[in-house]
Amino acid sequence: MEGYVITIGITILIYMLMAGGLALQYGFTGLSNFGLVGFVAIGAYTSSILAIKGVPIPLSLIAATGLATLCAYPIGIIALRLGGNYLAIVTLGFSEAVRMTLQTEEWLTRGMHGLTKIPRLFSGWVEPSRIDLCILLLLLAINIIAFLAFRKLVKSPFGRAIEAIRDNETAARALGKDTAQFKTRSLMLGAACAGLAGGLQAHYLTFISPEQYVPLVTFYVWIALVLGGADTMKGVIVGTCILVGFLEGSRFIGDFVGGISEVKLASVRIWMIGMALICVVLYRPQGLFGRSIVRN
Amino acid sequence: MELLSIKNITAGFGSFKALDDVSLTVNKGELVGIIGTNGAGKSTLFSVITGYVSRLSGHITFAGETFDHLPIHQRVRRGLGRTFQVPREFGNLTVRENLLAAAPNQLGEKLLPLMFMGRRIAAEEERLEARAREIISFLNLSRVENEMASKLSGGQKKLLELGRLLMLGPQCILLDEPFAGVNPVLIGELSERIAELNKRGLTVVIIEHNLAELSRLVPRMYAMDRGKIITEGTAQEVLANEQVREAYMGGVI
Amino acid sequence: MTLGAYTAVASQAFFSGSVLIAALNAMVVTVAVSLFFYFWVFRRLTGRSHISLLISSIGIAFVVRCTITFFAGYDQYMIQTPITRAWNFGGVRILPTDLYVVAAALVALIGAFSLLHLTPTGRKMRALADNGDLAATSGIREKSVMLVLWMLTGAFCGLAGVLLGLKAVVVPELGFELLILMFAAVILGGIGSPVGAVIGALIFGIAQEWASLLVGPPYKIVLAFIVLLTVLLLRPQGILGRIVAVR
Repeated sequence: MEGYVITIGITILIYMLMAGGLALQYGFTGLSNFGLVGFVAIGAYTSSILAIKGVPIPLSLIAATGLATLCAYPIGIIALRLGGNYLAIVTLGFSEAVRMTLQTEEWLTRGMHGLTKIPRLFSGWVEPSRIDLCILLLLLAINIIAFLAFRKLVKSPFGRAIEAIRDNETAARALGKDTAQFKTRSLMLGAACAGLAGGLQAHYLTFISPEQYVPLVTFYVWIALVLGGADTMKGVIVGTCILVGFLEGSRFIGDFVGGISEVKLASVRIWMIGMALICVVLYRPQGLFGRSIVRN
Repeated sequence: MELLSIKNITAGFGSFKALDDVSLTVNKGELVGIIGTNGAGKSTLFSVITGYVSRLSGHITFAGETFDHLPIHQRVRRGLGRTFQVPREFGNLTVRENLLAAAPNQLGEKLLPLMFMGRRIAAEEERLEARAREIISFLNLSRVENEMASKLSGGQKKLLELGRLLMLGPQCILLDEPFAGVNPVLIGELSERIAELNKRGLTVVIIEHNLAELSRLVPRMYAMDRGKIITEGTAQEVLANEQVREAYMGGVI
Repeated sequence: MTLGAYTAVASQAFFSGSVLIAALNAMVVTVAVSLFFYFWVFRRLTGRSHISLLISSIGIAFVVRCTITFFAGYDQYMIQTPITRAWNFGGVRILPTDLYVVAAALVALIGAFSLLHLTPTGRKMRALADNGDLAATSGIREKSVMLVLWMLTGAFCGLAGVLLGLKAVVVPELGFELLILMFAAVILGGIGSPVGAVIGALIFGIAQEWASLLVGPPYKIVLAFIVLLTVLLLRPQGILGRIVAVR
């Protein structure tokens, strides 16, 4: 039981880091990044490959974060020329392109077989039974740091500028803001979070394969934001907890309602998520804790 | 002294010419109006000057520097600001934050200084706050200082836009229909503020439909019709022009 | 609007058709589903941001797909077709089924174009797309036009689903995998230009099959992505799209 709680805690925290990054991009800058999972995958594979080759995990994590951040740069350059819809499609395409590349370039990624025996965080440092707890605490610390940094960031002049761009990009440009540059930075910061989350997840799971990085993951993070409200930190945190709580909790539906096969249960779960999405958009567009009054 | 000069500008899509060989000059410290019916090309002219629409031919010079190929934000940084027909406030920021966000070249907008130069940024913020407060009281917006900008009335939003422009410390501002959708009381006030700014040395160009208010405000104006400038002169001269009367209301003014 | 709609309806459609003769059946079902979601969701989102449309579309796609998988499971299905001998056209052998697919697609396209350009409803549709407020003030009843539009979207997706099912194995992911490719094709041609979309899709389809030969099928999506980026950077309005003025 304790182990299970720790597992859920770790899942929540990993998703929360991704959600924090996306909140920065969407909630505060108005960038609709539908390719979040692409950055997560880049982070995961970079860190894993390096760690397998013998690079210490902290260094490989830094490299993962760095590479994911760099990958966001060209996309940011393109964001310079595109409106919201295009960006959504381009990023979605990006994440699928990443996944396909990971699947095909077997010499590097072992393709569909996935990478196994990824070094675990803390292994050799603490006794095996305590590893999960340590990972949980590490993630908690990283999340606290990240969210404190977010809070400081959105209250800073930089935060004011990206919020201005979100509210009305044309006006921000009319005031001499190099909006493309702000968007690129925001995209890169969010990608850094995603990359770091991906790397951490890989070192927790010790096994990754391309099919873990399907767009569904991106949608999950979006759902967390839409539920909680994308433009407050509280919304992001609560949204993520609700999402993971539901994803994990709904596994037990089968225990209460008899006669449903595993496959059907999976369908029911995603069906409910879809329904929740529609209902939130229809009846509470700003999310549970969102504060936006207007959105263009 | 010439501040803004536009020479033989043409712009449009395909065979349609939104601007057809338009030339005009604005001197430093001047207050100039541009009138014309809907679709005469006034807003397009502003968009070309500020870089939102690209020109097909012609030249734009501002303060002795060619503007032909500068991106939008660079033009603003050279001291040329504009407002829009429809107010474009930052709806989820307060009035004060709207003004603060407008200030150019803030150190705190860069990520690295944000991490390492906290004290200098705090000092900068204080300076900006003081400036914003000054402008807010100049525009009589103190009462709504901490309101979300989206909650303001149409006229207040226009004032707010003007305030944001002032944060830039511009040399010249282009106002796109500042009186449209503003109640009569505020029109008077807005007009007064614009005149006051001009008196302090700011160059102003105004597009306006409200001829009565405009002719009271500006000593010199241009009239446009179907992408061309048809005449130029004092308000009386322009409004007396046969072509202008024809274009405007079929001769009824 | 249609952009968001695609996401939803595309995924919902590809599945309903399962028997060759029941193509009509499939279209009726997709039309009904499409109308249902129009009335329930999209009608109320008029004037809201594109992102909320997109998100609710994803929601709808989830709901529809899961309803299907709940009853049909994740197994693969085939649409049964009579086995026929290939016809021989001067050395090029073509399966009759392929011809039927092409013919059906052509007929549908011609139908759509004549509707869009020759009938009053089509004209209204284009007016709405250009400027909703203006169209409304000139007495076009948005509701009835949207109704037709959504019925059409539903029917098209249904048909596309059946045609696709004829050529490929039917799995729940069918729609989703195509989505990015579809968007790429539409952007390539220019959003808001049906002819552009068709040309875009054609160029795209050919380029893709050709690329599969060169670099292998998995890179289809990568290619789609590259094409998408190139077009957006060089010509953001697409091949036949128009520039929209900013006020």
